[in-house]
Amino acid sequence: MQTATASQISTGIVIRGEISGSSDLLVDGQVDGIIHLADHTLTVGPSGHVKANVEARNIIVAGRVEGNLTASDRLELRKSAVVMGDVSGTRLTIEEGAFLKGGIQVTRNTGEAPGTPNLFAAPGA
Amino acid sequence: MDLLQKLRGVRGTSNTAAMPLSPELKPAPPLQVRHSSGLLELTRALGTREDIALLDLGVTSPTNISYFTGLGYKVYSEDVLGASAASDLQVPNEEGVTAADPDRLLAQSLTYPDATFDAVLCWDIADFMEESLVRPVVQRLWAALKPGGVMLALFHSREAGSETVCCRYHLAGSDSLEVRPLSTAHKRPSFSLQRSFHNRHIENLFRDFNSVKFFLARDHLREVLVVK
Repeated sequence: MQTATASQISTGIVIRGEISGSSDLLVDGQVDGIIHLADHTLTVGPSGHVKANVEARNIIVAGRVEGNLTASDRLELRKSAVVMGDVSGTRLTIEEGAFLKGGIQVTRNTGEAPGTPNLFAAPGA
Repeated sequence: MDLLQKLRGVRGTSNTAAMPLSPELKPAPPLQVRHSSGLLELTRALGTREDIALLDLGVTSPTNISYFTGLGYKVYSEDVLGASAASDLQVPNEEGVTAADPDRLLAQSLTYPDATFDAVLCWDIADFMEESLVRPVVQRLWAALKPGGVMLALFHSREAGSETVCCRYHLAGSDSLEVRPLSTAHKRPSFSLQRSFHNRHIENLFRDFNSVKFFLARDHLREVLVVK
């Protein structure tokens, strides 16, 4: 699921604040705040709980997320995922059984930095 | 080949040979696929619009999400029936009878700005939802629809019987639905049919809408398309 160089927040660890970095990240613990991994992959493991807006190249969720997920490339919700927030990505995979309360938008790959999805912005906003 | 078939690969159409199978090898019961005139009418109504926002009120459906995002729609998924089963919604009403409180439900669910959606897929949630919630939820959906927005709702007829189970409806094409019973994998309480609406009740339920159109089917499931 993650590369050998991925950092890990293990079960039982709680982090509050902003996380940014230049490696992949596996969250099996809890993160409250903001996660920004521009060119890397965030994986929320089955026991992971993230209360944060997340921007990353790839986002894989098997645990629980409360916040908006913006993937500049691939976004994947595994069957055990529970996500409450808007999600967007250029490639979207949602497994049967995943729970999502939020908006879904497939974006074009423009090469621009991702922004927080706002599915209900007024036209032209 | 439509978009859905491309996404899933072509569905097998050959008949299975009548070869007896041991119980562990028996395939799952075939899924029911039904024609949906209401869905066809809904997609036609949306055909010429731009920046379409659609709300799917069923259990999260990867199939439906793939289909509509493939058409360029913004899709929103919310299982409002599942949310209506939360125990903290149950409070004594004016008569002292415990019932689900619509204000509590709507404080956490369907919290969209007015005139957000071009379309709502309501499915058959009104048949399974507690009486106290049905009208307030429909009013909230009316507000969330744009003027001219459309909503598809399904209602089981009396002939469907009280044993009717709560199912998930997945798109199987622009005019067909795959009906699939919910499994334990959906992390959701079970629901039983609460009532059978007469046509007059349905018209009354949607009285705030500009038009109400019925589509009758052979499977005891009426489709209703309403336009704000």
